[in-house]
Amino acid sequence: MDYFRPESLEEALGLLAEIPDARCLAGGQTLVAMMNTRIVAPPRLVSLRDIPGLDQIEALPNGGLRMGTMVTHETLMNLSANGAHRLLPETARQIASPAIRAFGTVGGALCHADPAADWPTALVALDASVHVAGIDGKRREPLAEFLVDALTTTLEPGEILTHIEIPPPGQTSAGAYVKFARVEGDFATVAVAVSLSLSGPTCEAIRIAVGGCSPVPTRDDAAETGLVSTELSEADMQAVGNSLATAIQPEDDGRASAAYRRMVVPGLVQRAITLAHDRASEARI
Amino acid sequence: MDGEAKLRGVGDSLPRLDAGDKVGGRARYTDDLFRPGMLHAALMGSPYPFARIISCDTSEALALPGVKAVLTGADIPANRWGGFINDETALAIDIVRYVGEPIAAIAATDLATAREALDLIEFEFEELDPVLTIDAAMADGAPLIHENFAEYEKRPGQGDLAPNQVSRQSIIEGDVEAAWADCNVVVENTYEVQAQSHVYIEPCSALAEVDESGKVTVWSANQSIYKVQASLSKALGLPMSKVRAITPPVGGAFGGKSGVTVQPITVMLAQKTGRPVKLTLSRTDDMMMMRSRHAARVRVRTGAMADGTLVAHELDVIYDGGAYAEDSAAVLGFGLLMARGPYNIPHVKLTGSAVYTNKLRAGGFRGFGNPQVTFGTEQQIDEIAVRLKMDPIDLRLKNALQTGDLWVGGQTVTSCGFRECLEQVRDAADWPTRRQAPAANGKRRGISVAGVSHICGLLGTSAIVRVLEDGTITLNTGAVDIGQGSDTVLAQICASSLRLDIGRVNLVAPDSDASPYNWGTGGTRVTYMVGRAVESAAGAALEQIRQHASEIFECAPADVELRDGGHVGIVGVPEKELSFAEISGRAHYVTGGPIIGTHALVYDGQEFDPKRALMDHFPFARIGTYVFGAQVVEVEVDEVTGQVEVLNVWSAHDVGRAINPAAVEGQIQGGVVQGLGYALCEELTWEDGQPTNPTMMDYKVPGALDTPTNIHPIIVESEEETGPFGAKGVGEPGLVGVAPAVANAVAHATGVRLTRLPLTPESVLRAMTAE
Ligand SMILES: Cc1cc2nc3c(=O)[nH]c(=O)nc-3n(C[C@H](O)[C@H](O)[C@H](O)COP(=O)(O)OP(=O)(O)OC[C@H]3O[C@@H](n4cnc5c(N)ncnc54)[C@H](O)[C@@H]3O)c2cc1C
Repeated sequence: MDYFRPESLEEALGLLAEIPDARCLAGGQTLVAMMNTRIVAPPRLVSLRDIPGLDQIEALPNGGLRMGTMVTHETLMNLSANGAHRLLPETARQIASPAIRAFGTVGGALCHADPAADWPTALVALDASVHVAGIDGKRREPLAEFLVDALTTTLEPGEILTHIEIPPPGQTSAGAYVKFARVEGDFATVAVAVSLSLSGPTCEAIRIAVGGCSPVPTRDDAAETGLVSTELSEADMQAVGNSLATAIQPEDDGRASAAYRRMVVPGLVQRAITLAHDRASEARI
Repeated sequence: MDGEAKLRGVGDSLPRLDAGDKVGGRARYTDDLFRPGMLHAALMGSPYPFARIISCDTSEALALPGVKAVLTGADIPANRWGGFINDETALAIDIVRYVGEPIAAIAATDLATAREALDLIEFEFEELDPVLTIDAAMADGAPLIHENFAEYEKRPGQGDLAPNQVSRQSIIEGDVEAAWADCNVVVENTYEVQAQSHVYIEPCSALAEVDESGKVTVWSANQSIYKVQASLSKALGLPMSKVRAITPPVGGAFGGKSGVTVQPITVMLAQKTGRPVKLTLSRTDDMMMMRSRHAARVRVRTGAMADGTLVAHELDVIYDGGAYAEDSAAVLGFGLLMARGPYNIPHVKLTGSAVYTNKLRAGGFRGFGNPQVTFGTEQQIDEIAVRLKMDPIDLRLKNALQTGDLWVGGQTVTSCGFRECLEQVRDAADWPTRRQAPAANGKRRGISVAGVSHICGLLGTSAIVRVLEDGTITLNTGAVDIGQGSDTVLAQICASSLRLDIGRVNLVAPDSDASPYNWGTGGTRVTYMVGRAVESAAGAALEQIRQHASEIFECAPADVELRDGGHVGIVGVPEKELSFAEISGRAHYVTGGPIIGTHALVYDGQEFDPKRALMDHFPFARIGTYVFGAQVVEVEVDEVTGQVEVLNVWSAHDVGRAINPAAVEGQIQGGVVQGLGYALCEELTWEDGQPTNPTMMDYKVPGALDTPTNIHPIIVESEEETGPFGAKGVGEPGLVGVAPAVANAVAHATGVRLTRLPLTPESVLRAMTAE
């Protein structure tokens, strides 16, 4: 195996193109663990660490955020953000443990696309999109489309995820990330991410993503639309919870049974919406 | 007195002698050791739960550059060893009996090569029908997991065993059948407990070297150098005198290292290659190859009178022993001895068996059969309290054993702080208030209790106290400190026996070439048993010191008094004083010879009373000196997820006397945390005989953030007359009552009773929604 630390994106793309199965190395918290257990044995590792700018978070003029793929969980945990963007530190705080948060990156998590990982769920709720660079050019696509299946994204061999972009938070907005896991720092058995904005007492916009229960985060457009212009009553929340519990495609695994996930999704969805709603209402006052 | 600062010894919360090295990263565990020319080894595990080995081709592996030896079952001596039944070999021979069972071993110049070469070994198997559950093992016509069982060497007194049965035992007192009629309330239930992995921080590890004469030296993580020596002697067909076992610092064991683990195969590789060989298991190999706590099914029936007086208790337990017998007979026997609990119950019928299955072998694990039965018994006591509308602590107090009462089997309990434990947890927990405390929104809240009992006296042990020329002391016991802190405690006992500061006591690391016999670290016995040997050995040294002093002072030995800080003098004559150094110098150079105090004992408590109890095939000749505890757990149950959050644990333990209160508290807290893992999240699982979670990613132990910060240890001192300075033990009991206390608290919170461990959110939620 060979190992490179290119200092530009172009150089990195060139190195990846040279050998099939060459891989990017981000924080290494997943990749190196897989190499240690001999699940994968890439012939070449291309570290993204020395490429300038990839570890930066940039506030966009419109109030949105653009972060490089190498931004760590720890950096996001300490981010001071507004409104619904506070979902970022709230999510980061619940990932793994301090050592892993110091190395693991948001881009690495998205590229690995573990159905139980936290960033896909939280960032889908925030309507993030991703920037991908390849040897033949760049593209941008919604994260929800980038995530194709469990452990599968639209990334072609040799492509690099460079940035993640998040639209501005709404005027009176808030988010909530409710994670349920077997023990602290474990991957989610079920996670619910909510991002909403209020107009007066009513819901202006809402996105709800459920993680850990399907190959990719689950949303229910129709149910979300149904919440808009409501005051998010208990019955409203129950309805969306129930429809999400039907929409997920859970499987039995070591964390819980599929049936259990369906049992708890409505209650956790309600908990997450309530939390976000309370936060937004507080912001409104 | 010579103006020394206060002597540090018994009763002081001294820091561990090894704390600095461990915290500073300087402690050198077995895997940190290195010998010139040393090879590294790796093991290959069986892919099948039950199969015949048809053929094996190791040529490709041997051809890999760097590989120095490949061993399979065909290459090793067929010497079998075991606890009660000699059924184990270092590698599977002809038949594999669980997934992960070592079938081949490789020694190579580096670890990566050894592991890579494993992939090059070709085995051909004929799969057999695996026996995966207790019921399958006991079914008529079940396949025999050990077809040559009859030919295995066994310890006498095992009785007639059914196919796949490892042991069958019973303890019967009174007449339960007749007694049910006298009961106003009878509760009956079946409890199931899971296999728990030891998850010691240090995976099993050994380093072996063979000298010109064929003498074997093995450094390894273990709980007894003498058990290692004895088992290696069996496995290798060598006299014990040709086997030297040494124990570097051990990174936890919890019972999982009480027998031999990887030592036999490591030695065989060293013998084969003529070079030192080190073998340290990966975490996954350790979880798949070594041992677990026994899963078990426990059927229990308990009856009481309307006033809460317990009358009858019937318990039948079946332990799943896995593929090899190991300590199963002892686990069963000890489980039955603990199955009545610390209560006076006149009619008791305790029966049980252990069976083979095609899964990882089960062995000793903190509690040793006790947590399994206590999970049933202590829930039944709670259920009776609910049925009689009595307070669960009052009900326990009403039936609580006291000093002078009889243990099941007929021994008199010589010191019993059980009542005090119950009273202390009740007070500390502010019990009446918390029993009524309202729950937060979306939660249910509950608090309840479990009683705990255990022993601390068993088997043989010895100690040597040597007075060096300058009056400092070298203490040698052969006891292995597996992280519980016994080195410090034994040094404290030695120091205080001689009225010296602990700084003047040097401890010899366990080495079978140098240390006197000690059965092992287990059964909560080291402080009590080895402590007794140390106290008496120090006493023997003191007798010699006294003799010298009386000769120098020209007075009667009885007039010589021991003074603080390594001095003796004449009673009533303060100015007449000699130091240990002066006396030891005389002993070394003038007369008498170096001062060496020794003491050896084997557990000498009261025997069981055959007139009172019918004890069938009970495996211990003598065992006893009972310890007690009471554990209160407060929980909050999430109504959405069913997750049980533990808010507080109060854990009171009768330790006789706390030699080192901080160490006692640490043992209680550690036991509680491990008990919470057992109660709430830890479970080894299998699917069709394949382990499904043998990694730390999949098998979850509670981490620091899952552990309640409010674990309140409470020390109760009942002063055991036979113990060193009145001490008994505390190593295991902290774990024992946690699971039933949690289940009782969940029942108090939710009104539903869970009978299967662990209490996962899913099982709790299902029980709540079915309610
Ligand atoms: C003990 C433990 C606990 C954990 N707990 C959690 C948890 O609770 N929640 C959670 O969400 N995660 C958890 N993780 C995963 C952790 O967050 C990882 O850091 C993350 O999933 C991967 O990020 P990384 O930077 O380490 O990626 P790496 O391991 O470096 O890479 C992961 C994969 O993505 C590819 N890749 C990385 N970056 C790029 C890129 N820019 N372009 C193209 N391909 C790329 C790599 O080639 C590799 O295939 C845990 C990990 C461990 C070890």
